[in-house]
Amino acid sequence: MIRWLLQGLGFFFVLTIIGFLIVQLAPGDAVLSMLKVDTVAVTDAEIEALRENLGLNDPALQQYGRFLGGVLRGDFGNSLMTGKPVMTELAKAFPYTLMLAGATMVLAVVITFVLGGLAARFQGSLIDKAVGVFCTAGAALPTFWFGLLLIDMFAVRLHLLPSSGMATPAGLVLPTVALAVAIAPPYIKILRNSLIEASGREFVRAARARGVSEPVIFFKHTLRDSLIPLVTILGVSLGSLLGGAVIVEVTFGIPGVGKLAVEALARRDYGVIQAFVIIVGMAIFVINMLVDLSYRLLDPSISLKGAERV
Amino acid sequence: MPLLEVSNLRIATRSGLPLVKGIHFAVEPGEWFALIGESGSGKSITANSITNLLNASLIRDADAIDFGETNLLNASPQELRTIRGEQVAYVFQDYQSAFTPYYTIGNQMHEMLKAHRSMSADERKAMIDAGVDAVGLDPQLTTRYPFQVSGGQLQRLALASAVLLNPKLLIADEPTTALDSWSSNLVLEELATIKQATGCAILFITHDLRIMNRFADRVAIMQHGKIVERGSKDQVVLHPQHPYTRDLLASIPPLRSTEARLPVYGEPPRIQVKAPAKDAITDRAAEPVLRASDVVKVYGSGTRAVDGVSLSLPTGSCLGLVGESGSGKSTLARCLLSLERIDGGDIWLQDQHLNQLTGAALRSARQRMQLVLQNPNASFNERLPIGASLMEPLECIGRRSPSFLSVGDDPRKVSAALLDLVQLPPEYLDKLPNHLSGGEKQRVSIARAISAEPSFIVLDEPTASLDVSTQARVLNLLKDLQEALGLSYLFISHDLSSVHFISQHLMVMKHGQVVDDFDRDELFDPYRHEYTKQLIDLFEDLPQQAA
Repeated sequence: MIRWLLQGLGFFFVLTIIGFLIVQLAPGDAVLSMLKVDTVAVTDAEIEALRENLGLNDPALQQYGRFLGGVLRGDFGNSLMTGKPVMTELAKAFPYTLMLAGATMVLAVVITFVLGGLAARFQGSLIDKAVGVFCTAGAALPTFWFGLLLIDMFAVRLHLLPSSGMATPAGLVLPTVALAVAIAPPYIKILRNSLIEASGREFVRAARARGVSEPVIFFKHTLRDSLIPLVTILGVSLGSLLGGAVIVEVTFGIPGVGKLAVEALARRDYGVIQAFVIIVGMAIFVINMLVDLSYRLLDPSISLKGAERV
Repeated sequence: MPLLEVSNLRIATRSGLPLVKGIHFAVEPGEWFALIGESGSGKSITANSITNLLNASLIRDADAIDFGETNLLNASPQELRTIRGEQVAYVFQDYQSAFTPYYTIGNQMHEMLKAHRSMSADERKAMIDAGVDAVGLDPQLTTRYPFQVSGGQLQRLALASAVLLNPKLLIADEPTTALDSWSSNLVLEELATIKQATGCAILFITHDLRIMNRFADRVAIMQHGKIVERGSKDQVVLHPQHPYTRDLLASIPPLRSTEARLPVYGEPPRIQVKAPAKDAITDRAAEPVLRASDVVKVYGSGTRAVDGVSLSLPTGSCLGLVGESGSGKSTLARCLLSLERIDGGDIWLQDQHLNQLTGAALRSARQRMQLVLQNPNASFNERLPIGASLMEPLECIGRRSPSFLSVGDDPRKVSAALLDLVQLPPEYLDKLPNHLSGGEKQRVSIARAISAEPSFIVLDEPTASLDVSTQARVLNLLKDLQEALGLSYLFISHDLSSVHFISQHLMVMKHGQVVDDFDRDELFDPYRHEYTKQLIDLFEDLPQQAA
């Protein structure tokens, strides 16, 4: 527990340093890009004054200290795009991304268990092959194009679902489907293969020899053995989903953090980028810790290691 | 009427390769029926096929598999499920997989009872506790996970769970092969007690003829998917008819024999080497190649894995180290090879104080020691052809050829000559390790170990994972090579008969200490340690067959 806290703290500092360096090392001059909004001429004196004003002429360490203090107070300054505090902008965007990521994970996991389970159960059959084709197609289709196909079908032709935005929960359906179909294929393959591997294990044979019924063997013994590799990759994907699924957010006009970050990059809105890097980084750290924790729940030999192992 | 009658059983792979080629056998109620065979004979898949536990890659066909009134061949999956565990129970070789590692042992015993009976949790618990108690274990063990229990205990728990519901037939598939002699004996005694108490029949699959001789009522011998001989145990042991049966019986090194070689498998090989001058050997024999005094190795929590062991290995002889798993014999070997730092005592390799060497001196000393391990699969890089693996020690010491060969410097010729020493053809140089059998790999390991002309070779259970006939060949080979090249061995095993066969001097280890220490011909002396005497009982010789 303490080890995790220390790791988290160390990781946090690394992130703030990266966030700080983003601005320090970025090509171009932040002050110039702030002043040159129009083609109005600016004098060297004006530039120098703003630099002094923003503290950009102070030693780097002092600037970092000031930056860190702001981060700890949750203050990343104001966004250049809107003039509002960066945290307000992010707080507006995050709920959308969280909803999309959560819904996508749920749908992707359901698809994975159904298709992966079927493919493993009917290994080598037509079903297995169909699932294989689905995986290849899902991984190969560009998400934006598949998204557009969905919009064309369900919004434009059938008028069943909204084409963009998330004014109503129904707006979540199409982007979730587009995203889940794009990320599920590797999970399906992994689950299928590890289920097949697990079903050949000696302890599965031993359970069967004791007369344990097939559903119990599958759900209790085989599936349990297949979960660890799956949980690992699910954790990785959840982390990247929290960073915002940029393409899907743009395609479906969802004002999530991915979209926000891309716009901020285009406009050199450094405060937003810094906040994005640090917050998403910490979120990924927490997810990794949870994945670690779930290993211990899934495999008692990990948590009991050293304690009573013979 | 037999309890189980298998008629014309055939098993093949999906690609059509036949593995079991039409066998018949019957098990009578209450008898101990042993199905004997070596790896690849088809005995384990025969056992699994009875209640259709085969992998999907295998296809089973038979005229009938009659179990009492039921033909198991036509039984529905539901019928089969209720028969498994209730009427026909299994114990497998791989005790670590007897239970799923993610649940406690008790959980899985409850699961089995739930599958067959409707009982309350308390009733189940009472039944499980009684069953575990009956195999001489503490019922508390069932609250543990499988990896928290020792191998011998785990196999006895597997046995307890197999007989919980008093099955009529217990199929035991090499249940003791992965255990050392002591644990194995406990499991076997337990099995005999259960048979006595419940009157169940036992179908015992094994390659171990000593077990067969001790326990079986009737026997069938399998080779290449066919039963080549069958009959009562005495008939098969005393009057074997088939040459394969005779070979198997002769493969076991008898404790009371003084024969230099095991009498099977033809003539000794012609080993063509430049023999070291006889005088040189006798001169050297006076001084030990390896000496150790009061060696101590302590592990983390203060366990004394090796606790004050002294030994001396005379040049050109073999020192045998017997002990059960956990006795510290392999740790001692690692200390002697200076793969582990010792925490006390001294080790001398000829005139070098081994445990005080460091850096380059230590590396060069290590080049004079070689190791052959139990698991031949783990001792080869599976992507390197045999020839490349074989020549590694010579490359390491920067030599072209060992001095006992006279084939010149051509690496190809040298490696072929090395393979020839262990009776493998030169074509094997280009094969990958996967294409060799376990015995063949072990021969290559031996050739590799002798190529660098080490001062001594540690053989750590070199035959434990081999079939009896392969083991006999490897033991003969080791002896022949020792004689021809004047090699010095430290031979480690839990198998007293192999150690006794090959060693001039034996040491018995227990809990990190040497409890007995004697020359080969002193084994049956009345003043042997109690522990050694118990060991001798476990390796009782087979009765002499009638000529």
